[in-house]
Amino acid sequence: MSFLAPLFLAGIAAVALPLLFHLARRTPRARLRFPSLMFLVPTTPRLTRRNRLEHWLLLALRCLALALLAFGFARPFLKETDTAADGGGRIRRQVVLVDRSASLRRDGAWTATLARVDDLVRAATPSDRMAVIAFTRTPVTVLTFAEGASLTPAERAALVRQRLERQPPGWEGTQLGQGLIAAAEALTEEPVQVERDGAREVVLVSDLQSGARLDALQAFEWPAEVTVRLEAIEVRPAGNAGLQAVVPPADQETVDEAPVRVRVTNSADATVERFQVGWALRSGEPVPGGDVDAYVPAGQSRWVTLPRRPQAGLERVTLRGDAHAFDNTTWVAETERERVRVLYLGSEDPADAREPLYFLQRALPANARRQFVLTAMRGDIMDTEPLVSAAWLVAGDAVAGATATALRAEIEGGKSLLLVPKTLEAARAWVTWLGGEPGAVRQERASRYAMWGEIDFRSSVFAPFADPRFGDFTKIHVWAYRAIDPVALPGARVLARFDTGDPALLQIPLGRGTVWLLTSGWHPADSQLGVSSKFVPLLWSLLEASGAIRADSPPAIVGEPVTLDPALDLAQAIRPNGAIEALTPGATRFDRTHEPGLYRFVGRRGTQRVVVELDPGETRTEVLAPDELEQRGVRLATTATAAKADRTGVSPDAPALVAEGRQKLWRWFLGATLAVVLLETLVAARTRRAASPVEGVTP
Amino acid sequence: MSALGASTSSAAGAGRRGFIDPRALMRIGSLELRARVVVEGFWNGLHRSPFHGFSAEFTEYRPYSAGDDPRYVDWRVLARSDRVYIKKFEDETNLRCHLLVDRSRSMDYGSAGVTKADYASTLAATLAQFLQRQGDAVGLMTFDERVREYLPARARSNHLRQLLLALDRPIEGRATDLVAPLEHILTLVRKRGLLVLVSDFLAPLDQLEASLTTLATCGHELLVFHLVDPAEASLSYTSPLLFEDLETERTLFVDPEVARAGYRARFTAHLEAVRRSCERQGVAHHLLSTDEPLELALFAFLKTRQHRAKSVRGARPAGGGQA
Repeated sequence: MSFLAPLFLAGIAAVALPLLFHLARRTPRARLRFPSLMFLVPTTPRLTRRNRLEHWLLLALRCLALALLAFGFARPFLKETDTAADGGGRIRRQVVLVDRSASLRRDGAWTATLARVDDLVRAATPSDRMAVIAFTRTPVTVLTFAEGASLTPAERAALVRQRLERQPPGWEGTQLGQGLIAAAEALTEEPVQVERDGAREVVLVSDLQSGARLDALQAFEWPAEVTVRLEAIEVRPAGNAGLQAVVPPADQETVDEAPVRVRVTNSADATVERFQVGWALRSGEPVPGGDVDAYVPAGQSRWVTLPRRPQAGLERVTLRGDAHAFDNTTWVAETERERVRVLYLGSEDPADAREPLYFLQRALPANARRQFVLTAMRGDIMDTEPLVSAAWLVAGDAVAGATATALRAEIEGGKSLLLVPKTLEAARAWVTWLGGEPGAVRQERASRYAMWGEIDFRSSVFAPFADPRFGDFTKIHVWAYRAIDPVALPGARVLARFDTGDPALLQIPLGRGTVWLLTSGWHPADSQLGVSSKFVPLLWSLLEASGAIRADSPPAIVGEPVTLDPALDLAQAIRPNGAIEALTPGATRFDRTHEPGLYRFVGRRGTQRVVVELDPGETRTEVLAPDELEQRGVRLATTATAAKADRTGVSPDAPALVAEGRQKLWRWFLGATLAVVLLETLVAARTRRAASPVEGVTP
Repeated sequence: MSALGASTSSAAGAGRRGFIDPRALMRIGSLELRARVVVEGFWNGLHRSPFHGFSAEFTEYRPYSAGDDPRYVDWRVLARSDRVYIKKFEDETNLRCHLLVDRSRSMDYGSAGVTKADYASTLAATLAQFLQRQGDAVGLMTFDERVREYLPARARSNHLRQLLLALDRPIEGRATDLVAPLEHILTLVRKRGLLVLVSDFLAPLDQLEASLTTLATCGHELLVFHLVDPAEASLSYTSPLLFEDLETERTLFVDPEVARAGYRARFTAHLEAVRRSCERQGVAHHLLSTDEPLELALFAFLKTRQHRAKSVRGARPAGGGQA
């Protein structure tokens, strides 16, 4: 049996203590509190041989408990494992995991990382198997086990340095969990003969920022034979602050541009708490007079509202007062107001409060982001240009002839149409246009009123109303509607029904487009929908479902894909540094967001601008507590071993450490100690009971 | 030991029947209740006893005859029976009694479930209640190495409660000084009265007699209750022990088998020295063992008082007492 901490064996000397106590017991322990000693004279204690021999069992138990405890603390492990690990020619495998995330862009961090990796690679013996993996969001192998096996340590070091220098820290976040998993898998997958299987170790060279992501480790069972040694890169000065743009709320109703807000985050180890935030030119130079003071205590974040852009075209915001500049810039895209053309096919007067058009034009107000251009056109006029230019179509009256044909072509081409037939005739005409039987339509006039009853909240139109707080449509009274048998319309899906069971809203696919059919109008003659609080949200929901308006692009994170708007038919991507990339036709995502900044995607039908930001976790540069890794199952090398390894560059105790960690013999020793202590307590209690109760005052 | 045996065994042998065992009495948590239990029993027994009360002591009724002071007509008897009687008194002044109770650590010793401190507190409370029932004023002074608490003598009913509270406080003292409280009481009590000293007298006796002389000179009547624990008196332990002084915390290894004879001799000599000091100064000295009923102490108290009353009466010219 060998010991990992043999110094603790010196604790066995403590068995002398109970021996001394037992010898000292020659003087009586029984003590009596007496009123006064003024009449007493001391007596010389009488010693007998029997006195010294009594309680030998207690003495033995106490000595045994101390000895067991000392053995336990010495961390024993079985010798045969130990011998093999030391001298049996076992092969040690090591993966050096190098962090090259954005936080390593701080001054001196990368140089220190390269030097530390160099030391580690050189310190390995030629028989050691070594691989080097660099990671940010994804791990990349720098040196494989196979490459390393054929090289001397010096050659390995030179090759690793050369390759790492070609891959300086990027802008991506730290997926430490992914990196550790890749290293552990590389170690477990590397084949070695069973009898030569030695220690397996991951040496993590990183600044160990607390913003590193460890989520991936949650679903990974860490291999028992792999230990992790932390090689922390210290960066001076400590502390770091960062900047992120805050997306303005989507329901901004003002026509003016919304105020720009940014979030300033300060790391927990920061010493600086006062910063300035302001607009900056493309070159990074601050715009004079536009700074806002921000006071952010360490470990907290604050929103800062910026003044309006002093001049058009400013899209860069910088943070000043922080020692590390890598995360001190964010971008706020200058929004262009979107013009959405809506075509209403109907013949009514826009000022007539009894007609649907009157309500429609009031349900589409302009705001800072978009402006609706509502055009009304009679359905029997032969003019296809408005049909082509409109993003969304609403029809009250029936259409005929070439207009009907052109309309069908537009819908089948991908547009959406909302049908609101005001009369039975119009309804029948539209059903015929949709390929249904006109006989399936009849006029219904409720004796009292009908209500919206059964609603399909799983559909995209009603999904925003799924919350019970918003899902009550029963307050909308319906006086008249056109009852349509949905079976008569090919592919029709009923999204809402009246309490009578007749459909209220139908969704009918037509080519690549969609037709929505409201069987009752929103104008007062048909229902109260136009004056209901549900009208505008329902209309916007239909607009979004039809693709006529698009949701705002939230800022993306470096390395994450950006979703592209297919309606814009985008062809080119302009990167923040001005480089132009061609996009594949019909692409719906852009993956190559390697650096932060403002990306512009240009297409035939418009431009999409997306801000790509640094991972906010990179700002949190305070050191990660090793407990965080242990809580996720990662087995860390002990501090003592790490310190030793720090001096030598390698961990010579690693096989012993692994053996000891696997066997955990100290648990048995601790358990035996507890058992002996328990036995000692019982024996002592019995002995005490047997002795005369002199402690009491009973004579 | 012979002194202890002589003084307690006769009284105990005569009076233990029907009295409350101190161990049973001490199980009553409230000091007030303990004192009341003793006094009630004693009071009821008093009617059958030859003892009478003392201060403002009524001795007899005498039919009124012309020339008697009408102040001493018992108006209640007149109202009830329409007969005129004159009350006769021993002494028309009320008694002022001060209880001096030792609260040093040595009192916190008890071998049979009753500590000397508990016994002393109950004794003092019993005396206080007894005296208060008679309308006498009772004061209290507790002491150890210094005077801890002083309550002047009063006859008010709520005064008894304060007195009991003071007696119920935990013991704090580290040593016993018998001289300081006696000297201190002289500065506080100007009027002559009765002083009852309850202590175990486990302290040097050098200055004790001098203090007793001073008190006697000042006209105070002094009554001493000397408390002794039975185990303390006999040192009846069998195995060798480490004895720890309750007051000084000094330890001493003693084999009782070896040390017993010498201890008893020294202890008895000490008791005898206290008794002789008291005797020389005309101070009534009662040795009480903590396993004796408290009623015996009350009897001793009354007996002493009566004896003194007789001696006073005898000393007075004929026709003395009340007039």
